[in-house]
Amino acid sequence: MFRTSYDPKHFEAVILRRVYVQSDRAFLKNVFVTGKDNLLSLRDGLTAEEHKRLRRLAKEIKQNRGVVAKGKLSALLLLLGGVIIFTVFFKNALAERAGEQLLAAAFGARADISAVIFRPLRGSISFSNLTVADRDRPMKNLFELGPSRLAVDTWQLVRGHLIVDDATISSIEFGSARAFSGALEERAKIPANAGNNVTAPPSPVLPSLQLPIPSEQEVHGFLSSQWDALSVPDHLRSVTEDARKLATTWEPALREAEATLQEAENAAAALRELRPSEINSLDDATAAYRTISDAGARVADATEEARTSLTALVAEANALQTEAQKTPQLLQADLSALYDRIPRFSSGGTELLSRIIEPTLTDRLGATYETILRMYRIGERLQSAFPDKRRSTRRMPGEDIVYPTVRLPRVLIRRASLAMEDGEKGLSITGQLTNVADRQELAGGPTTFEFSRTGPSRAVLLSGMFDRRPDKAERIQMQIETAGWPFSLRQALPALDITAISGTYSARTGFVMTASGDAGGSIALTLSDPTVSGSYAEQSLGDLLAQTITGNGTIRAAGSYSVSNGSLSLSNFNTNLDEAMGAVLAGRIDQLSARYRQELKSQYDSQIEPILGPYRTALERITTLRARTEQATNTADDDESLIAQKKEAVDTRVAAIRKETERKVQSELQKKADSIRDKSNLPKLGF
Amino acid sequence: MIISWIARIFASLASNRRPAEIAAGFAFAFLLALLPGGNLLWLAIFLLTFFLRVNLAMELAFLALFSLITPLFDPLLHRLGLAILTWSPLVPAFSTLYSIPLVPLTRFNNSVVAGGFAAGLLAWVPFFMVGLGFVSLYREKIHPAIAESKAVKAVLRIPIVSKITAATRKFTAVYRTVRS
Repeated sequence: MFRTSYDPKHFEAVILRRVYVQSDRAFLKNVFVTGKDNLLSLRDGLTAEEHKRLRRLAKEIKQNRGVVAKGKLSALLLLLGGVIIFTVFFKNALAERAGEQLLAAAFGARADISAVIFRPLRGSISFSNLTVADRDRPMKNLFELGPSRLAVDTWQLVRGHLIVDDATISSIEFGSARAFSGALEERAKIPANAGNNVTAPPSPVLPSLQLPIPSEQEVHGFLSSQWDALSVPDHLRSVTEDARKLATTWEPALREAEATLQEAENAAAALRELRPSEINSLDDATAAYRTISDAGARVADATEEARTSLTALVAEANALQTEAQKTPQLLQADLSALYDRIPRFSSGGTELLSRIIEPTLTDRLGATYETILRMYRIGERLQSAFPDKRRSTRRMPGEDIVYPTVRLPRVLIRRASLAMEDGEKGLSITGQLTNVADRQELAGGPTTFEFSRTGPSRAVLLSGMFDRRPDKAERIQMQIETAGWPFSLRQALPALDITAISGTYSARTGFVMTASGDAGGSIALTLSDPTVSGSYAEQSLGDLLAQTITGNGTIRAAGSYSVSNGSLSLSNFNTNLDEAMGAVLAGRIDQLSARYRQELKSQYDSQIEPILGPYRTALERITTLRARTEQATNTADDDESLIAQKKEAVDTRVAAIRKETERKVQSELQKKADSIRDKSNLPKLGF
Repeated sequence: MIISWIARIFASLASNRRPAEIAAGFAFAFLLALLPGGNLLWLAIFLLTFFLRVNLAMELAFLALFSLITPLFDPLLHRLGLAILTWSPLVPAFSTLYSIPLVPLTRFNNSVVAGGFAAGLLAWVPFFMVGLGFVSLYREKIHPAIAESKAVKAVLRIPIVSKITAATRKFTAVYRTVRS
């Protein structure tokens, strides 16, 4: 209400100035009158209505004072104070709740954080335990962190950005069991077998994995396939045919020649009866000569005729036999060619190893690949959990000027480090994660990770990066190195009567996934001290594999792989196991080759035999012909010789008769001359 | 509701409220209408008016009214905002502002927001003066003239108008009671 008196200037400044309705101003001027002390005061005798109006005006004047609504401002300050007090008192619970919601949104599964201590002024958040359930296996944790401390930027937290400058994690465990499902509400329906590893179906590869053991059928088939390429069958058929023609052609001629020669021989046989000693006269000699001459002419004609024919026959037979002499060489050449074309048993080594290793790699690499993809999807989910949406409006969107300053993502963990030592187990785990962000392009670089787990006998080192920046070609790049890890392969081995292949393995794997989704990389495996257990029989395929694996001490394999549509395929795979297998296989292959050759030879012989029978028969006929020809020729020669002997004997006898006759004639002449000389006393003539 | 708002405006115009309060509501309404919503700047200005002696009824009513027409000015606001945001002498200052936490939430770097804010600020004083003049004019000339005119008296007899009048009186009474 109004005071009892006012200075006129004060009344004007404080009262009338705050009354804006002319009637009210007039009313006030009317009710306030100037007193003796020159002060304004309420006149006496105001009615109740005037008092009421004065009260109303007093309130309005009071309300028109100042430009700030002090009451509202006080309420606001009280509200802010309450919020601050509430936040201070419940900051830990709020941070816990916010963190759980953030992680649940990021990983798509329940997250639980316990014993959170949030110190906004220090910019630190610490907790004793953090579990994030595996979205795909709700009864398992994706990871579980032990006591950890995060250095956060509180200012950015106020802005709505969770910027973790440094996170120190004391322990981490992957795949630990959960007491209750970690599925979010909308994913609460869990399959009955959730949380269990689904056993992969046995590989269909190994049961069909067989070395090419030669069977009769296979040899027969192989020989049939190669038969047309062999030269011996045609050669044999050709020689046989030529021999048949030769025999058919020359047998009548030979018979005729033999008959002629027989006649000549008969004639010559008649000469055997001729006794040169019984030739006592020239008449006898003349008769003997005539006989010899007739027989000789007959034998000479027959021999000449036979020789002409037989010479041609022998020439043809020789040519045929020369051709036939090529047969052994051709047979050997054909067999060699066949042997050369025998399928190489050693070519299956790499394939065998690839087929054995591929399912294992698919399991091992597949699990890693799935983990990597899951982590990458988590990054994508982070991005989708905090979309950079602009509210739709009917206003013109305008243009955002991006000033050269750092824009931050909503969630950014600049660096998280893990250092864990277990003295009892001799285990050391270290890890480092940088630039984990919902918007990679605002994080200033790719997400990088390094994880090292070193135990007394085994170690694993994993490093790489995720890059979801739109202008980057490579999305995931990773290297994994493991050493001293137990290796036990049981899958699909019963087909080989092998229970398990065991040992320790080291591996080095590179992995790159591009923006297009293509993935691939290289892998190098080393299996040390391998052992094979099982009930495989000696000389069986299982035995072969066991000898190969255990005989080399260390098995190394390297190659590249690609992942397409979720399936893994190996390429350019090479291994020393192939060499080891080659060495083991060499003995087997020699045996197999010998057996195969033997079988091939047998099959070859059995198939060539029907051709060789006529061939031999034909050749025998030729041989017989040739022998008969030679015999006939010899007979002719004998006949000629006989005739020559007889003629010589007759000549000798004739010469002897001539000498005797000359001696007798000379003696007679001497006697007659002596008698004449005696009769005429003439000197002796001296014959 | 609409009747209540209209009654509230007329009650404030005819009451002993300070003209500057009503004029400020008018000017702030135009400023808020020029600014696209959904940013911290709009919210801050709107909240500011809650803690200043600004006639909220006038502000909200004229905000609704101006929002119907201000999108038409967007191309002009965009050009104005773009000119401001890219004016090289101011770029360092804007870059600094952009780096300050929460400030980017004002979307001051948006051309329409910047143009609307600049235009709203420039127009605030003229609109305030216009508002002041209008309130004075209304109270001194229009309101008495209307109140005494036969036509208005006839109109006041119309049921809907009589309802508004009754609501105005009722609201004025309640308004005064509450404020007291």
